[in-house]
Amino acid sequence: MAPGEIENEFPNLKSVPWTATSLETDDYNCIAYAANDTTRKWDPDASGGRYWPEGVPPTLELSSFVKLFEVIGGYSKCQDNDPKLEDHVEKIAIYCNQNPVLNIVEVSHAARQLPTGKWTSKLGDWDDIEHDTLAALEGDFYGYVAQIMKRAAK
Amino acid sequence: MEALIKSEEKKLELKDEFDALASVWYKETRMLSFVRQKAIHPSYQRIIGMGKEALPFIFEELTKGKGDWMWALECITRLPKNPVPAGATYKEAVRIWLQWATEHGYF
Repeated sequence: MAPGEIENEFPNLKSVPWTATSLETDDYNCIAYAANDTTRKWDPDASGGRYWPEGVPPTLELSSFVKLFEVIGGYSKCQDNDPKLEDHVEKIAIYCNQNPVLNIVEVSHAARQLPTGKWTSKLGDWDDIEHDTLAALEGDFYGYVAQIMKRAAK
Repeated sequence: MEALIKSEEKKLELKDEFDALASVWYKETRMLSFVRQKAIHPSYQRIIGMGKEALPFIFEELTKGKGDWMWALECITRLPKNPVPAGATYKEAVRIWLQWATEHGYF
């Protein structure tokens, strides 16, 4: 995607440094990418070419995604939701948004923190990007950061 | 002859309608990650509403390796068993549906 088109949909990106780090692809999505898997899409609706681990509730509720990252990644909730880089700690951030059709709050996106303190995200079927702040992707499409989780760096 | 021309005209109209709906759907949902959130988009629902007449156009999109069309294919074809096995990747799902399309005369 052209940078201008991405910024049109995520206008907060206009005020922070960011860069695309891949071409767009349908092969994986943001949740897979946050879990370091670029081979498949992770989606609670796990049919027709999508994947969801057994034992994790197949819903778009925040609690299901917290459970997902606990089970598959050994992450635990950051009680203070602090996005700051910490020594020997890896963090992910889960975004939630109001579903405009169903009028319920659902998970919309996940980002993974890099050792530099920046964040990396796969934007749906668009590119992977690096962005300086989590707020850079907040807005109409991804809503707000609802939960940050962390684990000891591997 | 007249019937053939009318049939071709109808196909072109359907193709135009599909292309317009798909274009809006791509533009407004490509940045989303979950198929359910993409599939409830009004344009996607209207494509499902086109029924089997949409299948050739969906398969054509799949040949580009683009789009979460499996949900629509499952809704429209209403096959008793999903041809894509659990755990398949997106690329595998595309390959399986295009194979199905070939076997059923869409190519």
